[in-house]
Amino acid sequence: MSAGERVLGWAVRLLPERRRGWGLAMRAELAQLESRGERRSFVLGCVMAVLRHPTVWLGLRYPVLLAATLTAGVLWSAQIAYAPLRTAVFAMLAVLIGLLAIGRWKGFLGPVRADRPARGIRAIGVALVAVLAIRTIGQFVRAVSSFDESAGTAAPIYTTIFGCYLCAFLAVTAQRSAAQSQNLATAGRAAAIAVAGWTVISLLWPPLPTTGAFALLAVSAAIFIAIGRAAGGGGQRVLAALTAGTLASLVIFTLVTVVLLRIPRWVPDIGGWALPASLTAAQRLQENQAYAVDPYIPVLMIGAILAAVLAVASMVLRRRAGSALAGQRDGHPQAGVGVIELD
Amino acid sequence: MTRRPSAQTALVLAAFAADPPEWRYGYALGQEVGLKAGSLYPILMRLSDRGLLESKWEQDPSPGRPARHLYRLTGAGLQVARQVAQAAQPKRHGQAQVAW
Repeated sequence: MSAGERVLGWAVRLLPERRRGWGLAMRAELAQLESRGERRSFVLGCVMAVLRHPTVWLGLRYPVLLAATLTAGVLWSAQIAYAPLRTAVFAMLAVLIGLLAIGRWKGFLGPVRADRPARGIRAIGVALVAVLAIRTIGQFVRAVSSFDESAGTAAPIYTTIFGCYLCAFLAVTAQRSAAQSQNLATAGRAAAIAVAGWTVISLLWPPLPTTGAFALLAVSAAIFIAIGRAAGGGGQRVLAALTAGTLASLVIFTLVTVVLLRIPRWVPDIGGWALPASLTAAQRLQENQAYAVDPYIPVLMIGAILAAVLAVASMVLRRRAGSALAGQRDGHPQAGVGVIELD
Repeated sequence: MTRRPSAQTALVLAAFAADPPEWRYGYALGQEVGLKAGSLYPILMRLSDRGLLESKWEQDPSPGRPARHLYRLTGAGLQVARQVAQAAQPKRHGQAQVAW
């Protein structure tokens, strides 16, 4: 393949799906040209034609946003003096932003389906992971001790946890996911009911419970509600249940971190007598904020395990659907004939 | 909305209208009307979007080469091309602007 063909190939990939036929037409015309000058001029003209297409620029919004987020994250984490921790934070950013980028491509993780439940669950999931990732990186940036532990253990664990959540939300809402739209809506409702129940128990009056048991009960409730209400066979129920459990875990953990961070009245005196009496009220609050989140870490971890299982289940079930489709195509030769239309 | 097509679009329409049943290749058409690909393809896309141009893939491509795309005016496209050609002539009283 010549350099011109390669450049044109990259350029036409920027065209929206419905314009891809024009890209093929341009490439076919290029293949007919012999003169180097003509080929160069033709490629340049075609690239200009592609770049003039307004949707090409709209399509670049997302990569630009991701690149800007990565840049902002790198600049922010540059404040971390300890190099291994800085590298670990960069790795976290790269993994999460990389997953979001892959979530736009055709494959296991993307692109997102057109239905509202899929779009809603993906948007909520990504937003919650973003909130937690920002909070975690913020803690690393502000940290004044335990750099080794943060770089060697905490940062990789959080990267894995957030990565699992992202993979799950991307996989179950991808275009070729087997999860039915109505079951995603059911999962969303089940998670909402469970979180509402937990909120009534835990957040209506201060302080926040010093046990994660209610939260784990709520996650279990979300799973059982989704299993009971989901339509279709076992696979559909499994996907709905895992989606509900994953979502409920993430919402509850995010609520806990936000409440502990923003509403001092809800911060329990979990340190109690173990904290030195010499601490000021502000220092005591800071210590309690740090410790009070610990009982909820298992909720985040269990949610991450559910998310990992959900991601794998989405891929396995999708593969089966793909195999079934391939079988159907084998039986119907016409189904395999590709028809390229310009619009 | 009534809008005059650009001079370049008018050129392309005129080239197609010179021999309406003939299918044209994009590059050859560009050479004929003196337009580079960067100007020609957006015009072809617009004409196609408006239903003025039909297209098909070449049936017997050269050996080892991909099939090229062929274009010609639709009935509506031919009508518009004729209106554009008429409008390009010196205006007479009562002549309407071309709508396309």
